[in-house]
Amino acid sequence: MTNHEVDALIRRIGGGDRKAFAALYEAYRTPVYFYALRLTGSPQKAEDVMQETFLAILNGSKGYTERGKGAAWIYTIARNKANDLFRKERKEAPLSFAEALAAPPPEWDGYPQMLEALNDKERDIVILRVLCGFTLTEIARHKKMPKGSVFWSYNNAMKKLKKYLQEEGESHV
Amino acid sequence: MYRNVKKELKRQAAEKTPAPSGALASFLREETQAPKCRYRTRPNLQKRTVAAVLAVFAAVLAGLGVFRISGNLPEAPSSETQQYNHAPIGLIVVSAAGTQAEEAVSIPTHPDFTMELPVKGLLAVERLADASEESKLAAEHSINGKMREYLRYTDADCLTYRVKTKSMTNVTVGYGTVNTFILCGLDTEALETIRISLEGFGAMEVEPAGGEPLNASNYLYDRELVITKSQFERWYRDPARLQGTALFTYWDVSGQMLVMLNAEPELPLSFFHADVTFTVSYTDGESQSFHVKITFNDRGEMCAVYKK
Repeated sequence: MTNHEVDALIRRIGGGDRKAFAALYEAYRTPVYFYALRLTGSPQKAEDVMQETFLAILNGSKGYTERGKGAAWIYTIARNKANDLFRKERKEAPLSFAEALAAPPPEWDGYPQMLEALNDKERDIVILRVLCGFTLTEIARHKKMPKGSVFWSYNNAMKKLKKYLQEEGESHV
Repeated sequence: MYRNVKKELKRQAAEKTPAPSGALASFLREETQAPKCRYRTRPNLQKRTVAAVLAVFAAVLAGLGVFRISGNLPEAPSSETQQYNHAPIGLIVVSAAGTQAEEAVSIPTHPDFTMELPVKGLLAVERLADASEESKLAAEHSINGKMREYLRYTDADCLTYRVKTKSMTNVTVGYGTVNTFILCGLDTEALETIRISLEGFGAMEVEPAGGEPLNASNYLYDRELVITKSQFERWYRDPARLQGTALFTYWDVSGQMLVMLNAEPELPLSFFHADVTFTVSYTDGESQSFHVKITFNDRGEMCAVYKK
């Protein structure tokens, strides 16, 4: 979904289109949840942030001025909601966007099982790329890694996951 | 290439994503028939056909022993063709965003060896109707569409689709960032210098490895780059990749190109070209070099040819 398509959905949500909201929710609930998990380090808090984010989208979409940055707008709301949560608990503010990307993923036993086939570095890149929705170039920039290294690790990780799935498939035959 | 992997991973992740609760759940419940993804991937027969043809082509060439396809290092030449004291350096091209494929080309011993490289890159230019933000957004939108079609992104990939774009007064210029040329198989013990020279348009870029922060000393972006052994060891060598014998380089659009396109928006994109020479020198006086000739067709599609 391009940013312009996200813009169009948000505009329709502002006009009261429930189907548009359901479509946006379906497309972004997982990326927002994993992004919030990255920011807060807690599955419970990530769930709260996700809920609050989509309610804020619902309420704030009328005031959204179309700028071709729909995805960034959604992630900004998620970050603000994480900040609110931390403020409420009088704790230190969560990580910034760049810091959240640079930091290792929080320990959690709920990650998809297939990610166990990867080492820490590969798992981190795959989570950021496939689940949080960042581009490989963004990941390279924020993690201060060479683009080629990120491309390489991502490609290796995908090969491992492909093999893992094939073996899984064979074991179920 | 990895569509099923990503799909399965997203499916598993979606299962781990908590269901909505409270007011959000109530709101969504009323929308019982939420539409499924509106942006479905269309069958791509053309892509499969091209992949099949390339696979056959690669198999034939591999059978002839001309080159090897893999992420591995190139093999040393046989004793009959050995001309170097050091193992021949190789070149790997990262050829598509999101779903990469690499081809390693070892330095051949035939002096006239040429080969078309499987790069994927698109240079796109949109003339701006006026200098308003709306015009620039429309131009970026159009460039995004071209990139998407050219790179054959799946619609799921489009969720995170990005292209480098630069808007000036008359035009917006965009370039898909798929332009990686990796030198591999370097004999790092005996290395003296790696020289990268570019003639034509654009510039070459080298970034440090190992999470080093970019600064004026270690981030290289120019038409002529020389990397000494000590610089390579300090900034660019990554022992974790290709046994620490690789240097990652990138071709990028230059300021000169942007100025030219802004001054003359109708300039054919085939006007742009670059000849990049990679030369590796060793302390015993041996030197290995090869060229990559970069051209664009009128549609802005990048072509790269490896030439000994």
